[in-house]
Amino acid sequence: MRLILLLILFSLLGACATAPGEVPVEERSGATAGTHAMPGTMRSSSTPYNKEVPSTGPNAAVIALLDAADRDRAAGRNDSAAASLERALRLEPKNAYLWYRLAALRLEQKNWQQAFVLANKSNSLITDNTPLKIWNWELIAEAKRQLGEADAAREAEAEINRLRVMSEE
Amino acid sequence: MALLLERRYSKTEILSAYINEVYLGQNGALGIHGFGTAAEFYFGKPLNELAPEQLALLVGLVRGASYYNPWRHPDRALARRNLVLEQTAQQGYISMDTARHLELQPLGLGDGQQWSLTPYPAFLQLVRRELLQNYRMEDLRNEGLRIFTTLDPVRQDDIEQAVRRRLKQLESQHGLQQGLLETATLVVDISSGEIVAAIGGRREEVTGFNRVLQAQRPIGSLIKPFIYLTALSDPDSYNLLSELNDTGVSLPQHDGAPWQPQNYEKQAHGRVSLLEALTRSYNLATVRLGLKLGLDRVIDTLHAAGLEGDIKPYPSLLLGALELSPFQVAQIYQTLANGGYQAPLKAIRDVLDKDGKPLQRVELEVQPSLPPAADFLTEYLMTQVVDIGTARQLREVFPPDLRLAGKTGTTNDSRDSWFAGFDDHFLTVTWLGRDDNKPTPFTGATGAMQLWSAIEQSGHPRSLNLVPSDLIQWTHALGVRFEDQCLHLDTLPYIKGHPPDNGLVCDGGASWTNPLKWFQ
Repeated sequence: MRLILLLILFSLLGACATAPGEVPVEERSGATAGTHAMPGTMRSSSTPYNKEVPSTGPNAAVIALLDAADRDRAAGRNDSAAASLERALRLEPKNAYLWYRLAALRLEQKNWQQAFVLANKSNSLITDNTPLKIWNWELIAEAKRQLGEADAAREAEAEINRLRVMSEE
Repeated sequence: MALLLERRYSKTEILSAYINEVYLGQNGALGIHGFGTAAEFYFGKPLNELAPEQLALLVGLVRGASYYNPWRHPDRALARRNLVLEQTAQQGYISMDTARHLELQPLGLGDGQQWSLTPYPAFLQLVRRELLQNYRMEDLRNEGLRIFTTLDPVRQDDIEQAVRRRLKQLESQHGLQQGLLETATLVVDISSGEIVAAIGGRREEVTGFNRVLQAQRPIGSLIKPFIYLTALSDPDSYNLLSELNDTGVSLPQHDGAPWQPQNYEKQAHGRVSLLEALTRSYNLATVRLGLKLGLDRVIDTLHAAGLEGDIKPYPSLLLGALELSPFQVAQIYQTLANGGYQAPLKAIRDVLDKDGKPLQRVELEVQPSLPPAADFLTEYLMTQVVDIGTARQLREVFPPDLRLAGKTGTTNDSRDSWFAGFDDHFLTVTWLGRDDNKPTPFTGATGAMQLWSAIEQSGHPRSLNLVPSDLIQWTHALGVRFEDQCLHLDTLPYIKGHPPDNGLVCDGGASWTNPLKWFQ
């Protein structure tokens, strides 16, 4: 359930940014009202290029795939979990949260280099979502530590601290 | 040997093994083996739907499929078929009357032209190539492999139809002989590099020339975004409003004769913005820019984007005197369209052995390959190609809120017409030209882009959403000199700390929300 909430939350980032001043419309019936609340993390900017985020709302198929990925991961079937995440990405290729999930899985699979790359890729798709950025940087810090790149790991930690301070302001 | 066989297998088993393998004809380089395949090949029907006289023809072919080839030698084939019918009657399987009646029937052949062993030969060739590249021969020889591909058959069918229809239109609009033009198209899922559809030619011959992989054609102006990306990677020197010089260039060639490129409309434009030079695809400004950057740096960008092999540093490279296959073009554009992240193009998702165990998973992998901020600006420029540049005719076809990006390409005498374009999800690269490399009446915009447009319309394109990195900032509304007029822009992206030049900024009053209006 926590997962579904998170997903709705991240998908809503798109909806929230569609039109400044408009209330985002939740398309999925029975969506949790609480998911609208994430003050301070989303701000629509005046630039035309982050007004639209691809998905209009949580995609039921994507949620099902995330659930499947969770089950597979818990059962140690990381390959199947990865396959589910990749399928979800085919449906929503610009969903930063899905890229984060794949990065996290690669870290578990000890594929440090791809964990690092995919976390960066996730970050590149985030316009305004500091918590998710922090999670990505946490993955990056760990991947860099495992790769023996201590300096890069420290830089990632510094970025995490910077983002934490920023989000508390 | 024969004895050994008979002891181990029944006569029926041996016969069915034989009729499944016997040679019954030739389709290009591919042999037709077995009655089932032959039924499809000659009659376009499954074996169990054939009429008795059609079966008799196939039986007759066993003796010599090329001698009795029913297309090439219909008389021989007919005589042979009737002999089989007669013998069948003599053996008592059918009555003499029936045989006489069947002997009067025509051969009833299909046209054989549309036939292919597999419905998607161009795509399957990509699969085969990838299997050989990425899997071990001994694994592939095992029985019962199941290969899961990235093909979207529904999309592929729609695209084939759209392309066929538009090609015919283009030919009749320009008074060309039907069937003269050839094409190759590749549709790629941008974020994964998965090939969703592939068209290797207007007739999908099974053994034919697969233009997706094998047609090596100069890419013309499709090279330009990579030159501008190279420039924009150096924000100290270049931004979207940097001034470029669109004036005559003359360079000595190997043989001493000067190389004097020209703009498409044979006219120089003088001082222009980088924005105008790319969106209107000016050759002179691009050659001057590329020479200033250095050919090596442009080549480095192409390699980074995923182009393998040696690239000769001739200045004509800057106008796309570089022969690439549509597959290679799609790879470098995939990287560009994916925020600079390269995902190797692929046609295979999984290969499972007979027990359903994956032989080797083809994982989604991406590599950061082009600098993200410069890549973003280049993708933005390509949206402007569609909004106000050489591809702006697309704006008459697609709804105004559907953002698309693209680039046209044309080579000398319009021998090649290219378009590479993308929406939020898919990149489509299309080439149009003639196999004999003779001129066509088409530019990138009047030829390949028309096919691209038909393909895009046959799907459900999502508006392109470019996600700017932290390094991107936006200007206030401004006016910019563009083709001797003042073009008003709501905003323009730039790399943090490097605001656009103001040399070509004009005083334009109110800001313009829809750049389209400017052209009306």
